[in-house]
Amino acid sequence: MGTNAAYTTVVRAGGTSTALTNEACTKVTANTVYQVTDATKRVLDPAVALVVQVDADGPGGGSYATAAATTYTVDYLSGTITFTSDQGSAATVRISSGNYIPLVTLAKVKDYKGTLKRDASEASNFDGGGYKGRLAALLDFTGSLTLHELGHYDHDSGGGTIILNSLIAAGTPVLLDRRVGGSGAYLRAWVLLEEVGVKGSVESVNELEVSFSLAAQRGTGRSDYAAVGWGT
Amino acid sequence: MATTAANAKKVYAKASSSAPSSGDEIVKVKDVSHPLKRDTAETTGYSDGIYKTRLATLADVSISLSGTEDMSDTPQGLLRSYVISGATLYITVLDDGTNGYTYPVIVTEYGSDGAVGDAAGFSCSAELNGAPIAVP
Repeated sequence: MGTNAAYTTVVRAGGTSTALTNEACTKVTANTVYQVTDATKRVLDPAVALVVQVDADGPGGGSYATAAATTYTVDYLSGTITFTSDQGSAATVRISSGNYIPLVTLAKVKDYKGTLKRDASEASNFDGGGYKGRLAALLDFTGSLTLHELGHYDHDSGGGTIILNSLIAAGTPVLLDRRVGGSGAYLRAWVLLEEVGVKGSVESVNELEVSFSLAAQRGTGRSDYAAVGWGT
Repeated sequence: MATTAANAKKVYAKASSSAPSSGDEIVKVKDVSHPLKRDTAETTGYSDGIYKTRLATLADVSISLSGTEDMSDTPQGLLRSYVISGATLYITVLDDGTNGYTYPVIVTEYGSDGAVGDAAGFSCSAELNGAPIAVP
């Protein structure tokens, strides 16, 4: 059974976009689906153009050739490249250039809410036998966090900065990652922070309340979007 | 008609309309509602005196579920994936564990939540997309 106490929740935000060079991918499915091998580099930055290369006969002979951009789709949230045609059992795939987004744990989160919403347009007609029919329309994701750290706190102890006050001031989209149980299934989404505010009456602890909503990002030079999705 | 305990409820999620089996049961659902609603069209005319008259038109069902989130449960996973795909999912609710309906639905909302002292929870809403199928 995979139920989890909420205190095992980990919420991470995207840190500083970092260059990829000749990053290896591992075959996932049937010579068509390949995923960035290094799990820490799987969130691809849609703001930076990707170059995917294939070595059709694998290591040893031959060399990598750049795959035409129209021959594959990119899942920016999971670092997955899906080719429209079989690459051959010996093929190896790499991302020769592009950027990934490292994930940084947000400190002192005490509450998380995230809701995926799908509009459903009514499409009832005389063929429906008296029952309403619907068609799925737009997808959205909204949510909130509550933290015991104030908005000026830098959650990135490394070389970058993740300061929630600065992120909302800049108005730039942020990658958010949430999982429970410390590992396993996650939800990732590109969001814009909509509100970052402190509340705290005299007898209580200061709490920072953050709200956010989906801000899908189109991949540079591509028709694929980095939006919201589940993964493992 | 016998009074039935609510803990006998069974809720299933499946990608097809065929009868669900035990493996399709959504684990850890704590609450479910699925009221059958009927739109009505008012037909009151001068000939009706002081009383409004109505005609039943389209039937509708809105389903709400909530419970403890289980990321390893396949049927719960269908709720998460179908809100993104927008495809029709089949949710079966048997209020006494035996009798009920299978509803073809569009999943319109899936929410995860959890304050630090609680269990990670989920909530889900779905809207009817076609005729319900009586079970059994």
